[in-house]
Amino acid sequence: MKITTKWLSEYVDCAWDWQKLVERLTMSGLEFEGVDEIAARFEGVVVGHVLECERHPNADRLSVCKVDIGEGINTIVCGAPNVAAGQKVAVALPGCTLPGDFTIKKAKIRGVESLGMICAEDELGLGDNHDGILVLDDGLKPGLPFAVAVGLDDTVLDFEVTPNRPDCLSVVGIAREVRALTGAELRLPAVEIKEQGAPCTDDIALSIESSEDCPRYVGRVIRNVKIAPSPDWLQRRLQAVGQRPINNVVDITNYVLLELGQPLHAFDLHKLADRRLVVRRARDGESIETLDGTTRRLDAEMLVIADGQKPVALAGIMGGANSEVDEHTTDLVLESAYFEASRIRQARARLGLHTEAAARFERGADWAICQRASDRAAALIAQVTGGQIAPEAIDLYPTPKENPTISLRLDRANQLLATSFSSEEAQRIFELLDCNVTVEKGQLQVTPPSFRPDLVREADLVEELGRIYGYDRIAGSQQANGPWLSQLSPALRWRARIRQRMADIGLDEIMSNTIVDATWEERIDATDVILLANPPTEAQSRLRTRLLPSLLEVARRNFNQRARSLALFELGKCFSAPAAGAQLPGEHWQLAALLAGPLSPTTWQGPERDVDFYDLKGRLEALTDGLPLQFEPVDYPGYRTGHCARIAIEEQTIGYIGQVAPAQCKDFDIEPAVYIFELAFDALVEHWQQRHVSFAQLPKFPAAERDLSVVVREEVSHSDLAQAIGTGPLVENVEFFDLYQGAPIAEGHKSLSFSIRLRHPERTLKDTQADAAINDILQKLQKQFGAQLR
Amino acid sequence: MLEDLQEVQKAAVEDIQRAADLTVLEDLRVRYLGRKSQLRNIMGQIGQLPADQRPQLGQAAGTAQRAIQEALDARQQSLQEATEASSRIDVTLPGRIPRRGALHPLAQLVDELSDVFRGMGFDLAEGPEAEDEYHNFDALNTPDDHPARDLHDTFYLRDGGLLRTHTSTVQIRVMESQPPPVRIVSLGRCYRKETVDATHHFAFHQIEGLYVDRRVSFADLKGTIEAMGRQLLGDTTRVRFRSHFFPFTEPSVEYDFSCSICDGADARCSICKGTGWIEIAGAGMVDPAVFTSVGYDPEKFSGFAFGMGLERMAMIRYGIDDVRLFLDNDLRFTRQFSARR
Repeated sequence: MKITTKWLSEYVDCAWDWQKLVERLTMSGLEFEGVDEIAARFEGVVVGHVLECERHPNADRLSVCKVDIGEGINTIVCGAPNVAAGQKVAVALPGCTLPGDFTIKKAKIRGVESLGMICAEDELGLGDNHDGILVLDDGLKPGLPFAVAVGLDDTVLDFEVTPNRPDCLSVVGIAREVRALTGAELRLPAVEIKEQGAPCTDDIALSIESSEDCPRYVGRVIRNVKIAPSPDWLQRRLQAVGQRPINNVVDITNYVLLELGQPLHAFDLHKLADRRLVVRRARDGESIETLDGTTRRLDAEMLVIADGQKPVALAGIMGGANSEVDEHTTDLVLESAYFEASRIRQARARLGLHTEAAARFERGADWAICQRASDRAAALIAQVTGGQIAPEAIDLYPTPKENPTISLRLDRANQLLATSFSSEEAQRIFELLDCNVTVEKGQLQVTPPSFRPDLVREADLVEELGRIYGYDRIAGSQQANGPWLSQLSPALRWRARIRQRMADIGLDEIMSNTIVDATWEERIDATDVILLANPPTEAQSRLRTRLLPSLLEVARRNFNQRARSLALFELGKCFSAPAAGAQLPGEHWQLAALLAGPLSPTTWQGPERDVDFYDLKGRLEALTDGLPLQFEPVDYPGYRTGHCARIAIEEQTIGYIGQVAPAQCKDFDIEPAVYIFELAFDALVEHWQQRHVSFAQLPKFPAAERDLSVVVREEVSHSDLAQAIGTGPLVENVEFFDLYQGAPIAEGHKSLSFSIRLRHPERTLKDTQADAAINDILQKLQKQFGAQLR
Repeated sequence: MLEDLQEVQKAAVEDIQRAADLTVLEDLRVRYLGRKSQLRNIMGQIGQLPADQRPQLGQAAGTAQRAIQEALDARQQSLQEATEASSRIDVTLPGRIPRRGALHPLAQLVDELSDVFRGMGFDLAEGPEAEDEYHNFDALNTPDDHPARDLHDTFYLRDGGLLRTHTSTVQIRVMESQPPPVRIVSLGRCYRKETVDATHHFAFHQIEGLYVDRRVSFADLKGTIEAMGRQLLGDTTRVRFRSHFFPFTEPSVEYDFSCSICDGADARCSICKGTGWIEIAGAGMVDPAVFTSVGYDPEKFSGFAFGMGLERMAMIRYGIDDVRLFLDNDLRFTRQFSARR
């Protein structure tokens, strides 16, 4: 909402400068958005008195003027046909910059030195007129700043108005706020109307069909208006707050809307069929061309103003082209109504229209001001257009609305706000807010004014007290703090711990988008499709079900930025189709990591090598810290066949690890081999939580160490061998330490070496016993896997 | 023979003391104590001497052997010490760093805020990102035709539900699940249908706080926000509360922190634009309608709630000028913040 300080000062006296004013209003809920000091635009433009005006000696169309600019007399060359001696004009002095970044300089024009420029309207940014120079009032003193001379020594202030405060969408509304903060007196615009001629009802019949949508409708007729451009003061004021002047009648309705907050509309009386207006719901199939030139289809949820045949306005939103006031209009009907907020809001939303009128009605207008706003506009129209106001305005108001009376318990207000208002102090605040207040036994009975539809409950009144008193005057307390450090849930504790652990083992944390490209999901054959109804872009239309594509996208981005090697992880949310009987998608945390490129960049320390599967697997094992992970070769979407494992704990699938399928990498333009694991984090947390730790006695007898190298066929897995060894007699621990293929090992075979620790709980092992145990193990391996001692 | 022994000992000790390095010393050890050494040779002959000479010569041989050994040991130690003392490495060569990963700046802020509020006794609560209209709007006193819904451009899911537009949904879920008192914060991702640019993203992160008990007042809200401000932006941070509007709080405020960069002294400050205040977020006393929708008695209980955008706070703290950087995950960006904690 834009106002000017001069406009505001018509209704309230305020000793504050604009900076203080906006600060105080901001604190009480009208957030300051910006300022435009209009006078600054006319810095260096002064009133000049043209003393002499003669033909330029070297140019027919130019005049050479002697102009009194207050502090001296300047010679100015002027090209306007209408310049003449004796005029008061606007002179832009050398050095000043006019709108459009046009800087005036001392110049020689056809041999005559010119000190400044006599300005036309458009050169000052005041309109489109370039027919001649702007001629000012005769009475102005030379040298007077132009902005002061024409009343543009004004400051435009812009405020953000919250949806609960429709009353502040007007200059008077903001003046009321100033009054509430300062206690200054409020002066509402004086309205005096002179009525003449036949009564309104001679010209127009009004009726309300839909009174629940339109509780009040004030209409009146004004005859013999002369449509013309508005006078300067009105145009300037509308322009200052960003409105384009149209004609005197339309401008006045806009002016009163901005002044009082009441939307008004003027119909051309002679364009109304049957000379009647009815407020009713639109009929299905009806349509209307609105003032913006758009034809809109209507339905029965929309409220219209119709004449005897057709809709002539979208009630509370926009007028119709078919009844528009134009330069031929002589008689008009002026509407000042109250429409119910929800009806206007629905219609406005369905039509996708935002208008000044709708903005006020849909938030809640003031039913009590209809008549007064009509009078105010009528008086201005009569004054400006010479029209005559017909007597007996029609005020259809079948069921007068009443303001609620709300009880406020002072002790409750004081408790909630941590204040100590006396009932007198509270009463004073509400009276400054135009409420009627009575006090009885610690309770205030407060009746808010009709323009405050937001004040309905006790809580609303408590807020008013705090707001006007000032929240800065309430001291903060630490009593909300609990007496102890709160506990983290296991899920949150593990999330924090694992993220830190991942970073500590060299992985960079990323946080990527949860809304992803549909194609990404398709490429990993996602079966759960969670689609957005109104996605941010056509491509980004699904919620992700896995982290793999997100990690690849981040890898792509970083490789494009010339990263050589990447070690990434994300602990992020993924989604799944709603569970049976559920309305909403499932959500789960996934932990994923990615390695790609050289393990460590080449330095002076030695050569680099590319990461492989086991680099990532090792990190996974470091991370899971002793959980008994099982790895089983599988094919899984997104991973390279033969290079992927299902990860399980006690047969429960926890996730997948492997090399990303080359086709996937290609889709993301990634060249190096990429390794990824994806884990169901919630399941991991459960396993961590269930892990039971109990103390084991430290061994009392020494262990015997033996190494065992066996040759097996290539397809025998390490884990099967290790498991078989681990379950052998006396075996305490098995460490794998070497894998060898090549001569002299036969083709299709491999050699694996294990370091085995043997221990007897109750005595020291003799060499022969240890050798016998190793022999047992070897025989077992021979039998199970065809293993041969190397 | 006795003289030979003494000569050997003397020569050996002198040679040993002059030995220039450990290689020479090893040669000397072999020469004077080795199997073919003169000493061994003499010792070999002692057995053939008359019995009365044997003890004296045996003793002398032992003395010589010990003396030579001691000299060897002493020289070895001194040579080793000298070697160690003269050994030099270039300590200015770069170290071999086991690289630590960097935590994402937003995740770090989540960790930090968790710590701040856990220290004040707030539990951490969570809720779903895919929500229903009830928890995102209706229960928060924002019915269907409420103008406040315009403030939230919402992503809807095709098969029902929406993506939460704020973390306030968690308030409702927590209050539905437990009686007062409630003291929680919730941190998480939210979504609004915004055009992505330097200051907007359709996905962003919030913290939400809620405290409900008997006789909770606005002063409690202020104290909590003030504590948060001091923790995040430093001990001298001041907070101001401006009246505002939110459907789920009454009174509603927006709060600003004093500018940690210029404190209002720099008219061109990129953070506060010279106003001295940085707009942070919204807060207020829980609206009685919200209590009613979760089955709390607004006559018995009161409470406060507050929110804050994490991106905004991180941008203020580090001077980040483009919100898109957070979800882009360019490591040249995310790695800049590893020194923070």
